[in-house]
Amino acid sequence: MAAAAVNTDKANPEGGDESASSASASGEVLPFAAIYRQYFDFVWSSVRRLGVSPASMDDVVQEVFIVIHARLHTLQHAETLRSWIYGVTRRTVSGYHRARRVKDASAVALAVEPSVQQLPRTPFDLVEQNDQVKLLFSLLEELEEPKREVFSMVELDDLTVPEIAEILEIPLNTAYSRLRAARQAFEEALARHSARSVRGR
Amino acid sequence: MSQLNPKSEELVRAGRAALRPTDADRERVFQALQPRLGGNLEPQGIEPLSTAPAKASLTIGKLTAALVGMSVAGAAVYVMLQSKLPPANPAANGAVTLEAIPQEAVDPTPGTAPSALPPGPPSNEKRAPAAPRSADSLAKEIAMLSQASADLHAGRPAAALTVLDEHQRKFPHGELVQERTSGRIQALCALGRMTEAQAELARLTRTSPNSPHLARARKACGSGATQKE
Repeated sequence: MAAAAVNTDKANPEGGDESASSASASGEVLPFAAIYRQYFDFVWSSVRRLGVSPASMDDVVQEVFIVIHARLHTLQHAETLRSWIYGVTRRTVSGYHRARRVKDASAVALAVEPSVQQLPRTPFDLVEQNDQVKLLFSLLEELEEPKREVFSMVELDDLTVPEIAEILEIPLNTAYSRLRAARQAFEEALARHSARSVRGR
Repeated sequence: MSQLNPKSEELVRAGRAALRPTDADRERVFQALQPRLGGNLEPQGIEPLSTAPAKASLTIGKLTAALVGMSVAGAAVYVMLQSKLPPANPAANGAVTLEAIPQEAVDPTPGTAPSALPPGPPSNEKRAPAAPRSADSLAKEIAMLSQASADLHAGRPAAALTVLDEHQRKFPHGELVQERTSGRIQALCALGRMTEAQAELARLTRTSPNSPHLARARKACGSGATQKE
Protein backbone atom coordinates (compact mmCIF):
# COMPACT_ATOMS: atom_id res chain seq x y z
CA MET A 1 0.00 0.00 0.00
CA ALA A 2 2.82 2.33 0.79
CA ALA A 3 4.11 1.75 -2.68
CA ALA A 4 1.00 3.42 -3.96
CA ALA A 5 1.48 6.36 -1.69
CA VAL A 6 5.05 6.88 -2.76
CA ASN A 7 5.31 7.04 -6.46
CA THR A 8 8.97 6.22 -6.57
CA ASP A 9 8.67 3.06 -4.55
CA LYS A 10 7.84 0.82 -7.45
CA ALA A 11 10.51 2.26 -9.64
CA ASN A 12 13.04 2.29 -6.86
CA PRO A 13 12.25 -0.63 -4.63
CA GLU A 14 15.50 -0.53 -2.72
CA GLY A 15 15.50 3.18 -2.20
CA GLY A 16 19.04 3.50 -3.38
CA ASP A 17 18.49 5.96 -6.19
CA GLU A 18 19.84 9.26 -5.05
CA SER A 19 18.18 11.00 -7.97
CA ALA A 20 14.88 10.50 -6.21
CA SER A 21 15.84 12.83 -3.39
CA SER A 22 14.51 15.96 -5.04
CA ALA A 23 11.63 16.31 -2.67
CA SER A 24 13.81 16.57 0.42
CA ALA A 25 16.46 18.58 -1.35
CA SER A 26 13.92 21.15 -2.41
CA GLY A 27 12.65 21.50 1.13
CA GLU A 28 9.16 20.35 0.30
CA VAL A 29 9.31 17.59 2.86
CA LEU A 30 9.84 18.25 6.54
CA PRO A 31 13.17 17.29 8.07
CA PHE A 32 13.07 13.94 9.77
CA ALA A 33 13.32 15.38 13.27
CA ALA A 34 10.27 17.53 12.59
CA ILE A 35 8.44 14.56 11.17
CA TYR A 36 9.22 12.61 14.30
CA ARG A 37 7.84 15.36 16.50
CA GLN A 38 4.77 15.91 14.36
CA TYR A 39 3.87 12.32 13.59
CA PHE A 40 5.00 10.34 16.60
CA ASP A 41 1.55 10.28 18.18
CA PHE A 42 0.00 9.34 14.87
CA VAL A 43 2.42 6.48 14.32
CA TRP A 44 2.22 5.26 17.90
CA SER A 45 -1.59 5.26 17.95
CA SER A 46 -1.78 3.55 14.59
CA VAL A 47 0.71 0.87 15.59
CA ARG A 48 -1.19 0.20 18.79
CA ARG A 49 -4.53 0.19 17.04
CA LEU A 50 -3.22 -2.27 14.50
CA GLY A 51 -2.71 -4.79 17.28
CA VAL A 52 0.92 -4.61 18.32
CA SER A 53 1.40 -5.76 21.89
CA PRO A 54 2.55 -3.19 24.45
CA ALA A 55 5.78 -5.10 24.91
CA SER A 56 6.62 -4.69 21.24
CA MET A 57 5.44 -1.12 20.80
CA ASP A 58 8.84 0.52 21.14
CA ASP A 59 10.50 -1.83 18.69
CA VAL A 60 7.80 -1.53 16.06
CA VAL A 61 7.50 2.24 16.32
CA GLN A 62 11.26 2.56 16.04
CA GLU A 63 11.17 0.38 12.98
CA VAL A 64 8.55 2.59 11.39
CA PHE A 65 10.67 5.68 11.90
CA ILE A 66 13.78 3.94 10.65
CA VAL A 67 12.00 3.11 7.43
CA ILE A 68 10.68 6.67 7.22
CA HIS A 69 14.18 8.02 7.77
CA ALA A 70 15.67 5.76 5.15
CA ARG A 71 13.03 6.31 2.52
CA LEU A 72 11.96 9.88 3.04
CA HIS A 73 13.96 10.99 0.07
CA THR A 74 11.72 8.91 -2.16
CA LEU A 75 8.65 10.94 -1.23
CA GLN A 76 7.88 13.18 -4.16
CA HIS A 77 4.69 14.81 -3.00
CA ALA A 78 4.87 16.37 0.42
CA GLU A 79 1.11 16.60 0.61
CA THR A 80 0.91 12.81 0.73
CA LEU A 81 3.31 12.56 3.66
CA ARG A 82 0.73 11.45 6.20
CA SER A 83 -0.78 8.73 4.05
CA TRP A 84 2.75 7.66 3.11
CA ILE A 85 3.69 7.40 6.78
CA TYR A 86 0.55 5.44 7.43
CA GLY A 87 1.43 3.09 4.60
CA VAL A 88 4.88 2.54 6.10
CA THR A 89 3.26 1.93 9.48
CA ARG A 90 0.77 -0.52 8.10
CA ARG A 91 3.40 -2.55 6.32
CA THR A 92 5.73 -2.57 9.27
CA VAL A 93 2.99 -3.80 11.57
CA SER A 94 2.02 -6.39 9.02
CA GLY A 95 5.61 -7.60 9.00
CA TYR A 96 5.58 -7.70 12.78
CA HIS A 97 2.52 -9.93 12.83
CA ARG A 98 4.00 -12.23 10.23
CA ALA A 99 7.31 -12.44 12.05
CA ARG A 100 5.46 -13.28 15.23
CA ARG A 101 3.59 -16.04 13.50
CA VAL A 102 6.83 -17.48 12.22
CA LYS A 103 8.45 -17.15 15.62
CA ASP A 104 5.57 -18.56 17.59
CA ALA A 105 5.02 -21.57 15.43
CA SER A 106 7.36 -24.47 15.07
CA ALA A 107 8.11 -25.63 11.57
CA VAL A 108 5.51 -28.32 11.88
CA ALA A 109 3.05 -26.14 13.66
CA LEU A 110 3.14 -23.75 10.75
CA ALA A 111 0.70 -26.10 9.09
CA VAL A 112 -1.91 -25.14 11.60
CA GLU A 113 -0.94 -21.57 12.23
CA PRO A 114 -3.78 -19.23 13.07
CA SER A 115 -5.29 -17.30 10.26
CA VAL A 116 -4.92 -13.56 10.02
CA GLN A 117 -8.45 -13.24 11.22
CA GLN A 118 -7.50 -14.90 14.49
CA LEU A 119 -4.60 -12.59 15.18
CA PRO A 120 -5.16 -9.65 17.46
CA ARG A 121 -6.16 -6.74 15.30
CA THR A 122 -6.82 -4.39 18.12
CA PRO A 123 -5.41 -3.79 21.55
CA PHE A 124 -8.70 -5.03 22.93
CA ASP A 125 -7.12 -8.03 24.56
CA LEU A 126 -4.53 -5.82 26.16
CA VAL A 127 -6.67 -3.04 27.46
CA GLU A 128 -8.42 -4.11 30.58
CA GLN A 129 -8.75 -0.90 32.46
CA ASN A 130 -11.38 0.85 30.48
CA ASP A 131 -14.86 -0.52 29.87
CA GLN A 132 -15.53 2.01 27.16
CA VAL A 133 -12.43 1.03 25.30
CA LYS A 134 -13.31 -2.62 25.64
CA LEU A 135 -16.79 -1.91 24.36
CA LEU A 136 -15.45 0.10 21.44
CA PHE A 137 -13.15 -2.63 20.24
CA SER A 138 -15.70 -5.37 20.85
CA LEU A 139 -18.13 -3.44 18.65
CA LEU A 140 -15.46 -3.05 16.01
CA GLU A 141 -14.96 -6.78 16.07
CA GLU A 142 -18.55 -7.15 14.91
CA LEU A 143 -17.90 -5.18 11.75
CA GLU A 144 -16.78 -6.79 8.54
CA GLU A 145 -13.09 -6.27 7.95
CA PRO A 146 -13.34 -3.65 5.16
CA LYS A 147 -15.76 -1.60 7.21
CA ARG A 148 -13.77 -1.97 10.41
CA GLU A 149 -10.66 -0.88 8.61
CA VAL A 150 -12.17 2.27 7.17
CA PHE A 151 -14.00 3.13 10.37
CA SER A 152 -10.85 2.73 12.43
CA MET A 153 -8.74 4.70 10.00
CA VAL A 154 -11.15 7.65 10.12
CA GLU A 155 -12.32 7.60 13.71
CA LEU A 156 -9.21 6.35 15.49
CA ASP A 157 -6.28 7.05 13.19
CA ASP A 158 -7.73 10.38 12.12
CA LEU A 159 -7.13 9.88 8.44
CA THR A 160 -9.23 11.66 5.86
CA VAL A 161 -11.34 9.77 3.37
CA PRO A 162 -9.17 10.86 0.42
CA GLU A 163 -6.11 9.61 2.30
CA ILE A 164 -7.83 6.30 2.93
CA ALA A 165 -8.79 6.00 -0.71
CA GLU A 166 -5.16 6.49 -1.63
CA ILE A 167 -3.81 4.08 0.98
CA LEU A 168 -6.31 1.34 0.19
CA GLU A 169 -6.16 2.07 -3.52
CA ILE A 170 -9.91 2.30 -3.83
CA PRO A 171 -12.04 4.94 -5.58
CA LEU A 172 -12.93 7.91 -3.46
CA ASN A 173 -16.63 7.21 -3.78
CA THR A 174 -16.07 3.67 -2.58
CA ALA A 175 -14.21 4.95 0.44
CA TYR A 176 -17.04 7.34 1.30
CA SER A 177 -19.74 4.74 0.86
CA ARG A 178 -17.75 2.22 2.87
CA LEU A 179 -17.34 4.69 5.70
CA ARG A 180 -21.05 5.48 5.65
CA ALA A 181 -21.89 1.79 5.83
CA ALA A 182 -19.27 1.25 8.55
CA ARG A 183 -20.69 4.01 10.72
CA GLN A 184 -24.16 2.62 10.28
CA ALA A 185 -22.97 -0.88 11.16
CA PHE A 186 -21.18 0.46 14.22
CA GLU A 187 -24.31 2.27 15.41
CA GLU A 188 -26.34 -0.88 14.89
CA ALA A 189 -23.81 -2.93 16.83
CA LEU A 190 -23.95 -0.41 19.64
CA ALA A 191 -27.76 -0.52 19.60
CA ARG A 192 -27.68 -4.29 19.85
CA HIS A 193 -25.27 -4.07 22.75
CA SER A 194 -27.49 -1.56 24.52
CA ALA A 195 -30.53 -3.77 23.97
CA ARG A 196 -28.68 -6.75 25.42
CA SER A 197 -27.64 -4.69 28.41
CA VAL A 198 -31.21 -3.60 29.07
CA ARG A 199 -32.48 -7.17 28.81
CA GLY A 200 -29.74 -8.35 31.15
CA ARG A 201 -30.79 -6.08 33.96
CA MET B 1 -21.73 11.89 5.30
CA SER B 2 -23.54 10.79 8.42
CA GLN B 3 -21.89 11.45 11.74
CA LEU B 4 -21.79 9.28 14.80
CA ASN B 5 -24.29 9.67 17.59
CA PRO B 6 -23.04 11.06 20.90
CA LYS B 7 -22.67 7.66 22.54
CA SER B 8 -20.57 6.38 19.66
CA GLU B 9 -18.47 9.53 19.67
CA GLU B 10 -17.84 9.04 23.34
CA LEU B 11 -16.57 5.54 22.71
CA VAL B 12 -14.35 6.77 19.91
CA ARG B 13 -12.89 9.47 22.15
CA ALA B 14 -12.14 6.86 24.80
CA GLY B 15 -10.48 4.70 22.19
CA ARG B 16 -8.33 7.54 20.93
CA ALA B 17 -7.26 8.40 24.46
CA ALA B 18 -6.32 4.81 25.16
CA LEU B 19 -4.18 4.64 22.05
CA ARG B 20 -2.38 7.91 22.65
CA PRO B 21 1.30 7.78 23.72
CA THR B 22 2.68 9.46 26.79
CA ASP B 23 5.56 11.91 26.86
CA ALA B 24 7.63 9.11 28.33
CA ASP B 25 6.84 6.92 25.32
CA ARG B 26 7.90 9.69 22.97
CA GLU B 27 11.17 10.35 24.78
CA ARG B 28 12.02 6.69 25.29
CA VAL B 29 11.58 5.84 21.61
CA PHE B 30 13.52 8.92 20.58
CA GLN B 31 16.44 7.98 22.79
CA ALA B 32 16.41 4.43 21.45
CA LEU B 33 16.17 5.65 17.89
CA GLN B 34 19.15 7.99 18.06
CA PRO B 35 21.90 5.35 18.11
CA ARG B 36 20.09 3.24 15.54
CA LEU B 37 20.24 6.18 13.18
CA GLY B 38 23.88 6.81 13.90
CA GLY B 39 23.01 9.77 16.10
CA ASN B 40 21.96 11.71 13.06
CA LEU B 41 18.28 12.35 12.71
CA GLU B 42 18.48 14.39 9.57
CA PRO B 43 17.77 12.56 6.32
CA GLN B 44 20.74 14.28 4.70
CA GLY B 45 22.89 12.27 7.09
CA ILE B 46 22.25 9.10 5.18
CA GLU B 47 25.29 8.15 3.21
CA PRO B 48 24.53 7.00 -0.30
CA LEU B 49 25.30 3.33 -0.57
CA SER B 50 27.36 3.84 -3.66
CA THR B 51 29.82 6.13 -1.92
CA ALA B 52 29.65 5.17 1.74
CA PRO B 53 32.92 3.89 3.12
CA ALA B 54 32.88 0.73 5.12
CA LYS B 55 32.96 1.56 8.77
CA ALA B 56 32.08 0.09 12.05
CA SER B 57 28.97 2.05 12.78
CA LEU B 58 25.67 0.86 11.42
CA THR B 59 24.26 3.45 9.06
CA ILE B 60 20.64 3.54 8.17
CA GLY B 61 21.52 2.81 4.60
CA LYS B 62 23.15 -0.41 5.61
CA LEU B 63 20.28 -1.37 7.81
CA THR B 64 17.78 -0.67 5.11
CA ALA B 65 19.75 -2.63 2.58
CA ALA B 66 20.01 -5.44 5.08
CA LEU B 67 16.29 -5.48 5.57
CA VAL B 68 15.64 -5.41 1.89
CA GLY B 69 18.17 -8.11 1.32
CA MET B 70 16.78 -10.36 3.96
CA SER B 71 13.29 -9.70 2.69
CA VAL B 72 14.46 -10.83 -0.68
CA ALA B 73 16.12 -13.84 0.87
CA GLY B 74 12.93 -14.68 2.70
CA ALA B 75 10.91 -14.42 -0.46
CA ALA B 76 13.49 -16.55 -2.21
CA VAL B 77 13.08 -19.09 0.54
CA TYR B 78 9.41 -19.11 -0.18
CA VAL B 79 10.00 -19.59 -3.87
CA MET B 80 12.39 -22.42 -3.14
CA LEU B 81 9.89 -24.01 -0.86
CA GLN B 82 7.30 -23.85 -3.56
CA SER B 83 9.52 -25.71 -5.94
CA LYS B 84 10.98 -28.20 -3.52
CA LEU B 85 8.34 -29.29 -1.14
CA PRO B 86 6.47 -32.34 -2.28
CA PRO B 87 2.73 -32.14 -2.17
CA ALA B 88 1.71 -33.41 1.17
CA ASN B 89 -1.29 -33.73 3.31
CA PRO B 90 -0.43 -31.78 6.41
CA ALA B 91 -3.21 -33.36 8.33
CA ALA B 92 -1.70 -36.75 7.63
CA ASN B 93 1.98 -36.16 8.27
CA GLY B 94 2.29 -32.76 9.88
CA ALA B 95 4.42 -31.37 7.08
CA VAL B 96 4.54 -27.69 6.47
CA THR B 97 2.24 -26.39 3.78
CA LEU B 98 3.02 -23.75 1.21
CA GLU B 99 0.10 -21.68 2.35
CA ALA B 100 1.48 -21.70 5.86
CA ILE B 101 4.30 -19.35 4.91
CA PRO B 102 2.91 -16.25 3.28
CA GLN B 103 5.05 -14.80 0.55
CA GLU B 104 5.33 -11.51 2.37
CA ALA B 105 6.14 -13.15 5.67
CA VAL B 106 9.51 -11.49 5.81
CA ASP B 107 8.76 -8.51 3.64
CA PRO B 108 7.91 -5.65 5.92
CA THR B 109 9.87 -3.16 3.91
CA PRO B 110 7.65 -0.96 1.78
CA GLY B 111 8.12 -1.20 -1.89
CA THR B 112 9.83 -4.55 -1.82
CA ALA B 113 7.49 -6.69 -3.80
CA PRO B 114 8.46 -10.34 -3.73
CA SER B 115 6.84 -10.74 -7.10
CA ALA B 116 9.47 -8.40 -8.50
CA LEU B 117 12.29 -10.66 -7.44
CA PRO B 118 14.45 -11.87 -10.26
CA PRO B 119 14.74 -15.61 -10.48
CA GLY B 120 18.07 -16.76 -9.16
CA PRO B 121 20.51 -17.67 -11.92
CA PRO B 122 22.24 -21.01 -11.76
CA SER B 123 24.82 -21.04 -9.03
CA ASN B 124 28.37 -22.29 -9.39
CA GLU B 125 28.37 -23.23 -5.78
CA LYS B 126 29.38 -26.79 -5.27
CA ARG B 127 27.29 -28.54 -2.74
CA ALA B 128 27.89 -31.78 -0.96
CA PRO B 129 26.38 -34.82 -2.60
CA ALA B 130 22.75 -34.35 -2.03
CA ALA B 131 21.23 -36.68 0.43
CA PRO B 132 17.49 -36.94 0.12
CA ARG B 133 16.07 -34.01 2.00
CA SER B 134 12.78 -34.15 3.72
CA ALA B 135 10.29 -31.38 3.65
CA ASP B 136 10.72 -31.30 7.39
CA SER B 137 14.41 -30.37 7.24
CA LEU B 138 13.74 -27.74 4.62
CA ALA B 139 10.95 -26.36 6.74
CA LYS B 140 13.34 -26.18 9.66
CA GLU B 141 15.85 -24.32 7.54
CA ILE B 142 13.14 -21.91 6.49
CA ALA B 143 12.02 -21.39 10.05
CA MET B 144 15.56 -20.59 11.15
CA LEU B 145 16.23 -18.18 8.32
CA SER B 146 12.88 -16.52 8.85
CA GLN B 147 13.84 -16.03 12.47
CA ALA B 148 17.15 -14.52 11.43
CA SER B 149 15.32 -12.26 9.03
CA ALA B 150 12.95 -11.15 11.73
CA ASP B 151 15.88 -10.42 14.03
CA LEU B 152 17.63 -8.37 11.38
CA HIS B 153 14.40 -6.57 10.67
CA ALA B 154 14.00 -5.76 14.34
CA GLY B 155 17.54 -4.39 14.58
CA ARG B 156 18.97 -7.40 16.39
CA PRO B 157 21.89 -8.41 14.19
CA ALA B 158 23.64 -10.29 17.01
CA ALA B 159 20.58 -12.45 17.52
CA ALA B 160 20.32 -12.96 13.77
CA LEU B 161 23.95 -14.06 13.69
CA THR B 162 23.36 -16.57 16.46
CA VAL B 163 20.50 -18.12 14.53
CA LEU B 164 22.54 -18.17 11.34
CA ASP B 165 25.45 -19.82 13.12
CA GLU B 166 23.09 -22.43 14.44
CA HIS B 167 21.78 -22.96 10.94
CA GLN B 168 25.34 -23.48 9.77
CA ARG B 169 25.93 -26.09 12.42
CA LYS B 170 22.72 -27.96 11.73
CA PHE B 171 22.68 -27.61 7.97
CA PRO B 172 26.28 -27.16 6.81
CA HIS B 173 25.26 -28.24 3.31
CA GLY B 174 21.66 -27.18 3.49
CA GLU B 175 19.45 -26.01 0.70
CA LEU B 176 19.62 -22.41 1.77
CA VAL B 177 23.34 -21.82 2.07
CA GLN B 178 23.30 -18.71 -0.12
CA GLU B 179 20.49 -17.18 1.89
CA ARG B 180 22.36 -17.93 5.09
CA THR B 181 25.55 -16.39 3.79
CA SER B 182 23.74 -13.31 2.60
CA GLY B 183 22.08 -12.88 5.96
CA ARG B 184 25.37 -13.46 7.73
CA ILE B 185 27.08 -10.75 5.70
CA GLN B 186 24.34 -8.31 6.52
CA ALA B 187 24.41 -9.16 10.20
CA LEU B 188 28.18 -8.82 10.36
CA CYS B 189 28.03 -5.46 8.65
CA ALA B 190 25.33 -4.32 11.01
CA LEU B 191 27.58 -5.26 13.89
CA GLY B 192 30.49 -3.41 12.36
CA ARG B 193 32.50 -6.61 11.88
CA MET B 194 33.56 -5.54 8.45
CA THR B 195 36.61 -7.76 8.04
CA GLU B 196 34.57 -10.88 8.62
CA ALA B 197 31.81 -9.52 6.42
CA GLN B 198 34.26 -8.90 3.61
CA ALA B 199 35.65 -12.42 3.96
CA GLU B 200 32.17 -13.86 3.71
CA LEU B 201 31.37 -11.62 0.79
CA ALA B 202 34.52 -12.72 -1.00
CA ARG B 203 33.58 -16.34 -0.42
CA LEU B 204 30.08 -15.80 -1.74
CA THR B 205 31.52 -14.02 -4.76
CA ARG B 206 33.84 -16.94 -5.37
CA THR B 207 31.32 -19.72 -4.90
CA SER B 208 28.22 -18.03 -6.32
CA PRO B 209 29.26 -15.19 -8.62
CA ASN B 210 25.83 -15.03 -10.17
CA SER B 211 23.87 -15.21 -6.96
CA PRO B 212 21.08 -12.65 -6.72
CA HIS B 213 22.03 -12.28 -3.07
CA LEU B 214 25.47 -11.01 -3.92
CA ALA B 215 24.57 -7.50 -5.02
CA ARG B 216 22.30 -7.04 -2.06
CA ALA B 217 24.89 -8.26 0.38
CA ARG B 218 27.34 -5.79 -1.14
CA LYS B 219 24.86 -2.99 -0.78
CA ALA B 220 24.19 -3.91 2.81
CA CYS B 221 27.84 -3.31 3.60
CA GLY B 222 28.43 -0.28 1.42
CA SER B 223 30.80 -0.05 -1.46
CA GLY B 224 33.83 -0.38 0.79
CA ALA B 225 33.27 -4.09 1.09
CA THR B 226 32.96 -4.40 -2.64
CA GLN B 227 36.15 -2.53 -3.35
CA LYS B 228 38.17 -4.63 -0.97
CA GLU B 229 37.19 -7.91 -2.53
